[in-house]
Amino acid sequence: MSGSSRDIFDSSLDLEREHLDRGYAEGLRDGQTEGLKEGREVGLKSGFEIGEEVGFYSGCVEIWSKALETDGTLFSARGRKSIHTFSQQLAAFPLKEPQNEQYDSLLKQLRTRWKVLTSLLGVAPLEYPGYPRGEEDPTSF
Amino acid sequence: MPKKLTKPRPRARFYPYLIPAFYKISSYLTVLEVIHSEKEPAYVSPRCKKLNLYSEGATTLKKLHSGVTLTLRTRASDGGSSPGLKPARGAVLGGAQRPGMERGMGTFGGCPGLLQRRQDRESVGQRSRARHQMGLQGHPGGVAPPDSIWEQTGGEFECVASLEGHENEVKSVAWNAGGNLLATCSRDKSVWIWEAQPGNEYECVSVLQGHSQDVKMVRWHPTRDLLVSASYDDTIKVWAEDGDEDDWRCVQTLSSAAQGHTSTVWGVAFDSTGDRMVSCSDDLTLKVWDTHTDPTTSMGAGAGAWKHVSTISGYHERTIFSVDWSRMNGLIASASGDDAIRIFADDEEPPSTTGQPTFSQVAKKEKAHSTDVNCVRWHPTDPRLLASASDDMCVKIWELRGRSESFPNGGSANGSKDVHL
Repeated sequence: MSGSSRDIFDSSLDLEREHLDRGYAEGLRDGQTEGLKEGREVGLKSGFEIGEEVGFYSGCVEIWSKALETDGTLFSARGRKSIHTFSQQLAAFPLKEPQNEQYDSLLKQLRTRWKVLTSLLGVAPLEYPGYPRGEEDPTSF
Repeated sequence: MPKKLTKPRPRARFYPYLIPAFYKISSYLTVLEVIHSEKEPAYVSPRCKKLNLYSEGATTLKKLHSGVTLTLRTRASDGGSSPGLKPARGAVLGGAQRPGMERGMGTFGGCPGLLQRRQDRESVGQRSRARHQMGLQGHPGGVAPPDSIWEQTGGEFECVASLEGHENEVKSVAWNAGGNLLATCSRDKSVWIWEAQPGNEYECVSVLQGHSQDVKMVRWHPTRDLLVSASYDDTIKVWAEDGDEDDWRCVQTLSSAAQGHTSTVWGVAFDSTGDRMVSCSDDLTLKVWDTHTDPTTSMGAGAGAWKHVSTISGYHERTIFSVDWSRMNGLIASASGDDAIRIFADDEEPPSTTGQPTFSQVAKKEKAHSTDVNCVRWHPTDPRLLASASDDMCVKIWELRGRSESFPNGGSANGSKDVHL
């Protein structure tokens, strides 16, 4: 029996742990690459969709604002005010910060305000075509 | 957790889908509520494309923009409704302001049509020239049609405005006490508030997204501008305007956590003063809430919040579709999927244990209809009369008998006589 602190069989005691660690590291690495790939795809897709939607809103609002500049009497008073507040909200939307916690709720708010806006301006329903619709349950009343 | 399925039963409701031939007036509208008129209305009953008016005078209702005429003609006695009609999911007691008209009630049943009367503010007191405006509901089906606003001038109704916006069936419509705001709710989970502008213009004030499921009914507080909505998501939400800037938000949610309902809330009704509110639900109970406080002062919980006062349970066997609290006699009527109508009253002496008011049933009409009763509404001025609408394509008027005007002690023999239209 050797007197050294290290034993040739020491490593065998850690075998399980070693395999565990190695497996974990491999998994992590592979997972990261896979996740990154998938995340990029999903991010591109949904980012594009949201971007399109927000772009649609800002395009419409820009036209309306320009129209108001030339003729300040267009639409109703409420409609005019609504265009103004909506464009402010649009500007405040954190489009480039997908990690922002309020991203989803702000987007939802934007959509709601859009409905009100289009209704006030008399162009309802004006929707960005890619807007996802809920499913209808025909048995529900 | 899966919702308890007490709702589905084969019913006449599906007829329109199976027998399109009977889908007469292009069924733009489904009758879903019974609303009262404060004026002297007239009897109407559905008959194919014509709605017959039982009254002293004649009234014609025209829906101009769709080219369909719903004619209300005078009939002395015409009973029953013809087969093949769409089920009456509700009735409306429309106002016909012909002076000297006999008391009566007008209803739109069967053939779709929901009218809710609003009194034109300028003409309060001028009975003979009062203009009535009504809000009609949209129809079920894939296309989400606009709400229509109808106006009655002289003897005619005409559609004066069309409100677009909802993406799904509009379930309920309600005017506020002042008559300047109109609330609509829909199966698209949103509640819209519209403001009436001069010249029959209606502007959208706000879209309230808060419910996570279909909104079944909206009702305004009788004196304040507070809107209450009941939903498939088991909650009742109270909405109020924040300041003066068209900013409506949910100031309180009455959910199952706050002793609220544990299943779909189908309807709410306020008592005559607005100090209490009753709600009915798929969980077979009625719940009474103390609503005298102002919930806008405390968001959610706290001093101003509305509190649960009492639960009326054990009486109903199936979903309670509708509830109404009479302004005249303080009774609560409920319409249920077990074909019965029940009347509840406030107990004179609450049990000393809780100190809270309790309610008990004072009358029950079993088999009030041959199938689900969809809606009940009390007459606004006559304490004995109650109207009910059902899937059996009938609208019935009931008279409460055998009790005095004040609350009976242990009420006896409270019968209801039905009068067929």
